[in-house]
Amino acid sequence: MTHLLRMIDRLSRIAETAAVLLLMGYCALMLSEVVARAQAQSFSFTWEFSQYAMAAVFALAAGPAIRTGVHVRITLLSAVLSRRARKALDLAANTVAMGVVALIVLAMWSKVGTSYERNILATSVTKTPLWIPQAIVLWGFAQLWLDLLARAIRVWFEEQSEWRDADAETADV
Amino acid sequence: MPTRKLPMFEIALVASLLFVALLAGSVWIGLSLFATGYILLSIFKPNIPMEIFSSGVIWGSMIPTPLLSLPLFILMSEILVAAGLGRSLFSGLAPWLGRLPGGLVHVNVVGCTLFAAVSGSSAATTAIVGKVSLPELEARGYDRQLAMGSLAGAGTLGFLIPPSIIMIIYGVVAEQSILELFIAGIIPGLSLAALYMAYIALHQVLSGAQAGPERSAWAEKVRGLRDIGPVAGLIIAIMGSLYLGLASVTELAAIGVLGAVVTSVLLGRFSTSAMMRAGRRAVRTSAMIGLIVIGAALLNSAFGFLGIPKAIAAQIAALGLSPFVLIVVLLAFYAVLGMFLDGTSIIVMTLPITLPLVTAAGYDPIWFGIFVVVAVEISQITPPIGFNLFVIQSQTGESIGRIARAALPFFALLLAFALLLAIFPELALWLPGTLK
Repeated sequence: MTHLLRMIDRLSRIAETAAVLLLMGYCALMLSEVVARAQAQSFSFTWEFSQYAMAAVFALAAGPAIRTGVHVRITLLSAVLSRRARKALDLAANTVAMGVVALIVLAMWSKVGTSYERNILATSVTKTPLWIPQAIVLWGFAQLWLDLLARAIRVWFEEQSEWRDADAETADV
Repeated sequence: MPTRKLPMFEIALVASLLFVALLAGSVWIGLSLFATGYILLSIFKPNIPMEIFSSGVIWGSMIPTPLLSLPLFILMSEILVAAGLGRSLFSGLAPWLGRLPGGLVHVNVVGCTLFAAVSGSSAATTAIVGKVSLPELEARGYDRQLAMGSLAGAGTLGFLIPPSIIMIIYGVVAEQSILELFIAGIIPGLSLAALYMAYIALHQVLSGAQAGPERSAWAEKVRGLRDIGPVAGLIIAIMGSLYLGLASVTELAAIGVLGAVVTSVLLGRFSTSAMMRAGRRAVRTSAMIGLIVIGAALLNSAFGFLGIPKAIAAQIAALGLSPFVLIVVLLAFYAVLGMFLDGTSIIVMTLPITLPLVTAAGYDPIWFGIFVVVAVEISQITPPIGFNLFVIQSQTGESIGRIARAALPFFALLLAFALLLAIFPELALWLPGTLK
């Protein structure tokens, strides 16, 4: 079990790092567009690729956001429950969340499959095969499901399931 | 064959019960929104192939061009935080504000105003300014209630003073110019900050609670300027470029990131590990907002298919409310909703219903954007889930009730300001009008 949890954590960290690089990448793309425009030119791909990168950032960091307790939820009810009832409610919420994310993963799987089989291309000049950015989004949501699974296991065994101050050890004010 | 009319009451009941049950069961808000939309469509529109339909909504909601600026503004703010902006703000402002009646409590307001100009989040503004100012004010013997209350109130400026995450979301959902929204938020934001400072000064004059003014030598003031100079330069560059239309909002956000990196270098606090840490925090916050946007997109599609916005609009139109009464009712509605939901969720969920009502009543959608932001700000300092209250609780260990009481005067000021905005829409519309 520890091996599985460690593997999911590692995968989550990889997804998060990819999201950071994509965010910085599309920031650089935008800056290059500003420079190009100052010289009365424009790249044809900056906005489009930035949109794909943004979608990837949303999906790839969704799992790490679960691990660090960043996603918003209302815990008014659980705050007044006993320890056992709180654990049961948390597990139930986690299970519902896994079900919903499974629906999202299935939907994206179908989207990627359709785009690949029908060779759907972006309508822009780049003619990007859409299955590529969509597959990265699918990877992100699959990672979110795995992070929820890891969280459920940790809640079940009453281990720490969220690291709210994941970066606190080096954080400055 | 005649189309069967959908049972509106049943749909509304199922939607409300389902959503409340999911939220109360502490399911994450973005996923609760998605599940409610998915189940509503599965029950009341069983012919829709949900897998195909939802995949289109998911992908479409993740790539809108106007949303591109959002993760970049979050990254800019995180880089500045990692560079120690909170401490710089206090040390830079304290020598200049100590002589005002109310003394260093004004640092909360001015610090939040400045931080709001580089951050789009209310909770982040409260956290960063409060982390330094609250212990400093306590150590110098300032009134704890006033310190907490002013921080809770001033923290809300994070949403109103551009760049603002909530305004970007509003612009995307309402299909309005984010640039105009940003410009429209400047005067209300600064007016609100001035109102808070006037209250702090008045409180001091009437109660005489604080010790005498804290005077600082000119050398200290100059050192203070050096601390806030780079950030002030960045703010002036962002605001100036926004107003002069030198770049699009997204391009400006990217330039802002570069400016934040340069600022951290100038402050001598740049490191690659700090950059990576800022990046990690930025992508997580972006993902949190992204999940809410995806969930709300499916719920709003479901509402649209089922004709709910039309039905509610017809019901409200039948009441024959005057435009001003409609706005007061909406203010109360948003304030109550804000007790249970965060700002992003409130806006993405309600806008398809409220915006057509308000525009039909003759109000400008840009004005309504600012009004909704003020309404959402109110919810940040009202229990049970006012986010600013939680932030201050985590910093002080005080009870939510005590912090909420401390924030009460600032809550009243916000409420009064919202009504003032309804009476004088020009407060928000004058500055963007000069752009045209």
